[in-house]
Amino acid sequence: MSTAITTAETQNALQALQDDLHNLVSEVQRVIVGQDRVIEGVVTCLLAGGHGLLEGVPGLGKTLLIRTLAQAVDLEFARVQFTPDLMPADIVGTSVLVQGEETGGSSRLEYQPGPIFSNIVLADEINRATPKTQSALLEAMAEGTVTAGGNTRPLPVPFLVLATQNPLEMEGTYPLPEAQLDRFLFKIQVDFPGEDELIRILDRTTGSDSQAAKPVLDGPRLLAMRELTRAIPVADSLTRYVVRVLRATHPTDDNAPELVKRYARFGASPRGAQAMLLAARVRCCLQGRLSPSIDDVRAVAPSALRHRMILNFEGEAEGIAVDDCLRQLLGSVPTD
Amino acid sequence: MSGVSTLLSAVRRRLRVSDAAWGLARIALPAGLWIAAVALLAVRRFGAPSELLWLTALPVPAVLAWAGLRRHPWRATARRVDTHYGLDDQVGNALELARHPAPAEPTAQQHQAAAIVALMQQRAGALAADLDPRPVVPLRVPPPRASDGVAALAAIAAMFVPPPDPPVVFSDLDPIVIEIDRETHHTPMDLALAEPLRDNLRELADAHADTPAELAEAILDVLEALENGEIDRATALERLEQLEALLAEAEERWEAELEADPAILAEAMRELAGSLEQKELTQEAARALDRGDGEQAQQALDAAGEQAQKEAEARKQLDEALAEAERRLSKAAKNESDTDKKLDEAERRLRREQKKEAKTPEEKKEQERRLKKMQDEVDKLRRQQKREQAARDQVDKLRRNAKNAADRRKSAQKRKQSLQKLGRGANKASQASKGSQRMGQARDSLDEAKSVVRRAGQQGEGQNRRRKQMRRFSKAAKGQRGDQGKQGDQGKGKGKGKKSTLLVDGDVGDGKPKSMMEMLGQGQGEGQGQGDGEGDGEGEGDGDGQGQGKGKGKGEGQGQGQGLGQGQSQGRGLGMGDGSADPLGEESSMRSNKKNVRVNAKQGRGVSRAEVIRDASQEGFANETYRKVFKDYRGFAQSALDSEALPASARRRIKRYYQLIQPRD
Repeated sequence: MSTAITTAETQNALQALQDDLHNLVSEVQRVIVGQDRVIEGVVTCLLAGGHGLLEGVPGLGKTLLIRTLAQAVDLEFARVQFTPDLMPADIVGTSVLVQGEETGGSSRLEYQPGPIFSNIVLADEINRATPKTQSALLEAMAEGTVTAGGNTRPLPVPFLVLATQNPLEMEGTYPLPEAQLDRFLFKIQVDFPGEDELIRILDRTTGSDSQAAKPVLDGPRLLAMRELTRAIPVADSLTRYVVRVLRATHPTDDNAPELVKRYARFGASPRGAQAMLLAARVRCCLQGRLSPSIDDVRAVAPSALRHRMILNFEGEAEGIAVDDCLRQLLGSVPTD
Repeated sequence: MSGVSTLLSAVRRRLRVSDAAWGLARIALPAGLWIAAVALLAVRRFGAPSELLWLTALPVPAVLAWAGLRRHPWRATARRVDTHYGLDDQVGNALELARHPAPAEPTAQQHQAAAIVALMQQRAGALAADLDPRPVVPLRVPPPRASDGVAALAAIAAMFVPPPDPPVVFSDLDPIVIEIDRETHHTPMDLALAEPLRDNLRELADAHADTPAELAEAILDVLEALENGEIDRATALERLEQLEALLAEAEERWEAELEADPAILAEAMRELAGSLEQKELTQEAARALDRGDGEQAQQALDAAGEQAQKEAEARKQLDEALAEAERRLSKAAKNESDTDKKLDEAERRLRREQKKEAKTPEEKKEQERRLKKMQDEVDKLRRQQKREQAARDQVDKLRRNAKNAADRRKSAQKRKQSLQKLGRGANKASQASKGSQRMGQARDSLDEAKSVVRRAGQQGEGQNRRRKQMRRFSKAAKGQRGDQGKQGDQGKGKGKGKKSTLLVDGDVGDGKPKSMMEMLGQGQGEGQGQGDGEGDGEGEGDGDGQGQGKGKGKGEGQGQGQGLGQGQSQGRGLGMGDGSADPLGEESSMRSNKKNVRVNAKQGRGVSRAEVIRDASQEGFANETYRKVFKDYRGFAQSALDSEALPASARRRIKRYYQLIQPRD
C-alpha cells in the first residue's frame, strides 16, 4: 500500500519536475532566440549541480543567456569580467579594516565577500585572467567553499559558475589548466545562429519591446528538483556503456577508435563519467521519460567530454577536433 | 510485465526465423551449390562414391541448427524493439531494472527509485500491449548475389564434366568392316601353322570391346576367308594392309589421347608386382598386377589392408612389402629416358633448318616440307616428354601412398586410406599400361598375320629368296671368315678350348659353316647353331685386361639334314668384352724417380651412346653404311620371321631388338 502511495506521489513529483523544467526553458526562450541546445545544456548544468563553460565568439548572447537563467530561477546573480589585472581577492573577497561606531571606536578587520558569494556567478571571458586568479575559483567550484584570511566560508546553495570564453582572441589569454577544466560539468559550444534565428533576434532586439524573464523557480525548488533527478534509476547496461565510452577516450583502450589512438594524449577523468550519467538523467527528465537511454548518453557525451580530452602534438598540429574524435568514438563503442 | 515478455518472445521467434532465412539464402544455398559442384566433379571425374552428393544438403540442417541455437538475449531483443519504435530504451530499461534485486533496507531515495521503476514497468507494459512484433523483425529472404550465380553455374558446369577417359582401353565408335566377297572361290589354303596366331587373336578379341578386339576379329575373318578359298593371298594381303592403315589411324588417335607414358607405368607396375610378390599376404595382388588385372589387384590390396588391421604378422608383412614397393617405385619414378635429349636435338635441328635460306622456289618448297616434318617431330617429342613426366608424377604419387601406408607414425585410418589410394592408383596405372599392351598385341598380330599370309603356299619361292638374302647379309656383315670349325656328329655339344669354343646345340645340317665368329684372346664360348652348309654365327665375349675372359657365341642357320650330333668346334670369332684391369698397367721396372698421378675424369650427366667397331684394323674398315647393312640385316630377319612359326613373344622380342639397333639419324 505504501509503495502504491509512493508511486503515485513519485509520479506527481516527476510530473511537477518536468513541468517546472519546461516552464524554465520556456521562460529563458522568451528572451533568448534559438540556441535551444545551449539552453538545454545550461539548464542541465543547473539541475545536475555542475558548472558550465560556454565557448563562442562575442555577441552570441552567452552573457544574456546566463543572466536570463538567473532571473528565471530567482537566484542571486553576479557577473565578474575577467581581465589580466583581476586579482583573486577581487573574486573571493578580502578583509578590510573597519573603524567606526559599530566597532566601538576600535579598528578591526572585516571580511568583505566577493562576487563569488552568489548563487549564479558569470565568469565572463575567464581565460583572460591569470592562472593565479583562475585558480581562485578552483576551491569554490569543487568544494562550494571559499578560504580567505584563514577562514573557510561556505558559498550559498545552490552555487553555479557559468563561465564564458572566446576561442578567437588568443592574444593575451591564459588557457584554463586541465584541473580547472575538469571541474566544469559541461563545455558548451555556442554556434552562430541561423538565418531565421538572426531575423528573430533582430526583430526582438531592435524594437521597442524588451523582454525580461520572470522567475519561475526558486532556490529550494531547484534543490528539490536536483534531489529527484538523482533518484532516477539507471540500468546497469547503461552504466557499463558510460564506462566503456569514458575508457574509450583513452588512447590505450581497446575500444578506442583510430582517431583517439592516434591523436589523443590523455582521456577523460572519472568526472567525465559522472557528468555523462548526471546529464543523461536530466535529459531524460527534459524528454519526459523515466530513465535515461543510450541516446541520452550519446547526446550529452560531447559536452561532458570535449574539455576533458587532451590532444597530442600531432593532433594539435593537424587541427584535429576533439568533437570528431568523440563522434567516431560514440559510433564505435559497442552498446551491449 | 507479461505484455513485455510476450512481445519479446514473439520478436525472438521472428529473429530465429529471420536468421534461418538469411542463413539459408546467404550460407546454405551458396555453400550447397559449391559443395554440389565439388562433389559432382569428384564423382564424375575422379570416381568418388555417389553418396558424396548427400553432402550438398549438409548446409541446410547446419544453418537451421545455428538459427535455432543462436542466443538472442532479452536485453538485446528489448533494445531492438525500443530502437525500432523510438522508445529510448523504455522497454529495455524497465525489463532490466525489474530484475534488479531490491535493497534490504532501502533509503528514501531508493524508495523513490523503486517507485520510478514501478512506474516504468507500468508504462512499458502499456506500450508493449500496443506494439506489433512483425515490423521489428521483417522476414525477408535476401536477394541472390552475383557470387550465388557463380556457385550455381559451377554446379551446373560440374554436371557436364565428362567422366575420365579410360586411358587403358581405346574404343572406336566406327566398327571395322572388311569386305570379303564370299561368292568367289579360290584354292583353299592350309593355315594350320597359323593356329597359335588365331588363339592369340581370339584371346585379344574376347577380352575387351575396343579397337584391338575389333581388329583381331577382322584379322580372324581374313584368315578364315583365305583358308576357305573365299579370297586369294593377294586379296588377303590387301585386306590386311587396309587393317594396318586402320590400326595406324587408331594408334595415332590413341597416342593423342594418352596422358601418361604407358611404358613407364608398365615398368612401375612390374616393380610394384615384384615387391608385392615377396610377401605371402600381397602375392594375390602381385599376381593380379602381373595379369594386368588392376581391379583385382586393388581388391586384393584392400583385403590385405583389412587383414593387416586384424593380425600383427600380416601388418608386418604388409609394411615390409610396402617399404620395398616404395623403394622400387622411387627407382621407377626416377627412371630417365632419352626423350629430353632427342627433343633438344630435334629442336636444334629445327632451328638450324629455320635459319637456312632457300634460293629457288623448289628449294623453298622442299625446306617447308622438311620444316613441317621437323616441327611434327618436335611436337611429338614434346608430347612424349609431357606424358613421361605425367607418368613419373603418377608413379611418385604411388610411391608416396606406399610410404604413407607403411608409416607406423600415422594413424590406422590414414594408413588405410593411403593403401586404398595405392590400390586405386595401381589399378589406374595397370589399366593404362594394359591398353598400351593390347595395342601392341594388335600390331604384332597383324604383322604376324601378314607373315602367315605371305608364306602361305610359297614354300619353295620363299626358300630361294631367303638364301639370296642370306648371301647378301653375309657379304654385308664385316669380319673375316674364321677357321672352319670342326663339325660335330651330334647336335648337342660342349667344348672348351684354348681359343674360343662354340657350343652347338641343335640339329646339324649338311655342309660347312661359311662364317665363324672370331674372338681374341683366350676364352670360352657357348653357342647354338644350325647349319645347312652356309654357316652363320655371332659371338659375344667378355675379356679382361690380362687376357682372361669368357666368351659366348651363337650360331644360327638352317639345315636340311636330320639327326642329332655332338661335336666340338673351335674357331675364331669377334667378341665384345668387358672386364676390369688396372688402367695404369704394370708398374714400370725402370729405376727412376717415378710418380703416380691419378686423374679423376669429369663425368657428365645423361645417357651417352657409343658405337665401337672392334678389330677394324684387322678386318678393314667398313665400306657400307650402317643404314644399308641394317636394312639387309632386318630384311633377312623379317624373311625368317615370315617363314617360321615363332611364338608371338619371340616375334616381339626380335622386333624390339631391331627397333633398338635401327639407325638413329
